[in-house]
Amino acid sequence: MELANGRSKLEELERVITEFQDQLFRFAFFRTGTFADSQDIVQDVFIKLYHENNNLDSIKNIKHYLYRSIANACVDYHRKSKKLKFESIDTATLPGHMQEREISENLIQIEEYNRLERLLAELPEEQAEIIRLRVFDNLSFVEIASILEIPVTTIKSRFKYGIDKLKVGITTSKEVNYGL
Amino acid sequence: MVTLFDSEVNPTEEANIMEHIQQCPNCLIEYENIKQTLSILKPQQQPNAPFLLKQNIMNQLKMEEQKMSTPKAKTVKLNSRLKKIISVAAAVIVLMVAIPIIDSNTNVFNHSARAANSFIESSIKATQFIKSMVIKLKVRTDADDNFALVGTNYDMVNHTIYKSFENPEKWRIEKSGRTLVYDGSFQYLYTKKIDSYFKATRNYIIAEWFLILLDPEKVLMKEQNNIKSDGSKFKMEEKDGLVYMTITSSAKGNFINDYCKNSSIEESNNRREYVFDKNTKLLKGLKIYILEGKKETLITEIESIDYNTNIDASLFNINLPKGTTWQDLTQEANGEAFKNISSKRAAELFFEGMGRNDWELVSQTYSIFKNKSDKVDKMKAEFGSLKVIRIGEPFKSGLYPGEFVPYEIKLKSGEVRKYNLAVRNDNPNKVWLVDGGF
Repeated sequence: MELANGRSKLEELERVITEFQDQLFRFAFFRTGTFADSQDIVQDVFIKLYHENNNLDSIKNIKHYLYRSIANACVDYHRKSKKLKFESIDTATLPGHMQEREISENLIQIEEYNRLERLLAELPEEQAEIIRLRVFDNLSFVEIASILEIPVTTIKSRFKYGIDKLKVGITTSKEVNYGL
Repeated sequence: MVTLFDSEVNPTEEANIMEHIQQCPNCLIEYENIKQTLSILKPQQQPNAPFLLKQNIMNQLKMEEQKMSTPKAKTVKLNSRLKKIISVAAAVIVLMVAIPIIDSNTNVFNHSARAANSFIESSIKATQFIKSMVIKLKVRTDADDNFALVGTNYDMVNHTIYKSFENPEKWRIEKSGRTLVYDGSFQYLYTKKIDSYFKATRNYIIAEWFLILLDPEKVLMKEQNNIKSDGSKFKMEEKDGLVYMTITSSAKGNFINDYCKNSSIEESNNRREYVFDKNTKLLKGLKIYILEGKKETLITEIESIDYNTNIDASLFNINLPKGTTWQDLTQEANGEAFKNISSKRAAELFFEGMGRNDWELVSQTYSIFKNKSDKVDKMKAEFGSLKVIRIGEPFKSGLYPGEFVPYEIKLKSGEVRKYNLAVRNDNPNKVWLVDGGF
């Protein structure tokens, strides 16, 4: 099928994936803390986008559409993961050394996710989410308002309340210079 | 005020708010506080989508379309195990560019998973037999300054890295002016020029860029993270049993003021040339060049790496001379006089304190003056009773988390000095600490 811009639907999807895959993957990662699940979520959202829309060009704001879709998928993920009691047999059958290597490769990023979530755990979720969207995802307040369908003034005040609460108790490790 | 921290700010509005902030101490503190909090919240690692994500989706949709034309065919969703293998494969394939990986129609994943398996297994095997390592390298730097400092105008300075991989891991990095040791529990730093001894926990960042060399078997993984996060260019070649990996990166940081440009590897346009043994996957050599237009300057070169060599256990300790104490770098800074002020005011207080020989005040921001040693006495004699000629406007540069304050002072010897004082307040109490530059 060819779209009005002369590209096929698959070519158009490829362009959209290229443009948004990194930011959407990050978005999912900072809400799930796992690489494999983030990959699943992003992959499923793009495939759903393809199946449910005959013309990708007709979506009014595809960025916001994708962010909303990933956000919903992450909510579903957390709902399901609360019910899941046992590790999937699929993931349990990997060779031990491969899991070890994979863990070591992703360890730095997972540690960073854990550090940030420990900080945000002090906040009500509605404030934490605004901070994630603004700081982690680098979205503007107007974009956040559009995605969450909340007035910009509310977004800004939640952001400010959240930052004020976080000011206390934040510590971090530093470089040492003493570079005389 | 929150408007300033939006990703899309109206420049006029921004200028108006900033003008107010510069004149209102309360707003300035508020502004700095938010800035500080946000800097801590900013993810230091930004994962990118796996290398094969797009390919997976496109392949799946193409296969679906093909199977639409054969009525009995079913669409097979990749199971989690295969996805995990692909994820690992993708990680390695970024590096193993010589391996054919993409067959857009069928059986992509078995091929790349095999390559990943092979690479991972040999890499793990290689690391299992390493008990120790000694690296000798040269770096264009100041022997008395930070380990991260480099510069094209410096001479090469010899460095040695010793690492024991036995549990607990221990290591030592030394150059003529500084020695840094990790004894399995704490880091210990000796700085010769100011004859001072520091202690810090394991995660405190002192070794800076050298950390990557302390785990040579993980260089591939760490550099892969760099490639993913900053888009560095990458090339891998194999020749005569060696694997050559070349990574070209652009300078990172804010260079509106280029004071810090080319002052560290990260803050330079640079090319890193690694050499690995093809069979063991162990690092054999490294050269790093700073790139300035067409000019290339060799900034770091590994001369030798010896694995499984005997290392004298005493090298993993620094002996503390009698009458000396370790300064705890992780101890909270609490200098009251240097809280809730601008960096410029902090610099003024620092130099005015030295001008009055008020070492109690000065040591609130530069704790080395609390020490008792001949070298500290010599510094006090040199800087005491100085006259401040001018303190300029602070600026930021590169990746430095603090600010630089230009200054001009006249020592009692008559010598005039004109440099930039490095100060930072990224500590829980937001105390400005002098970090170097005088």
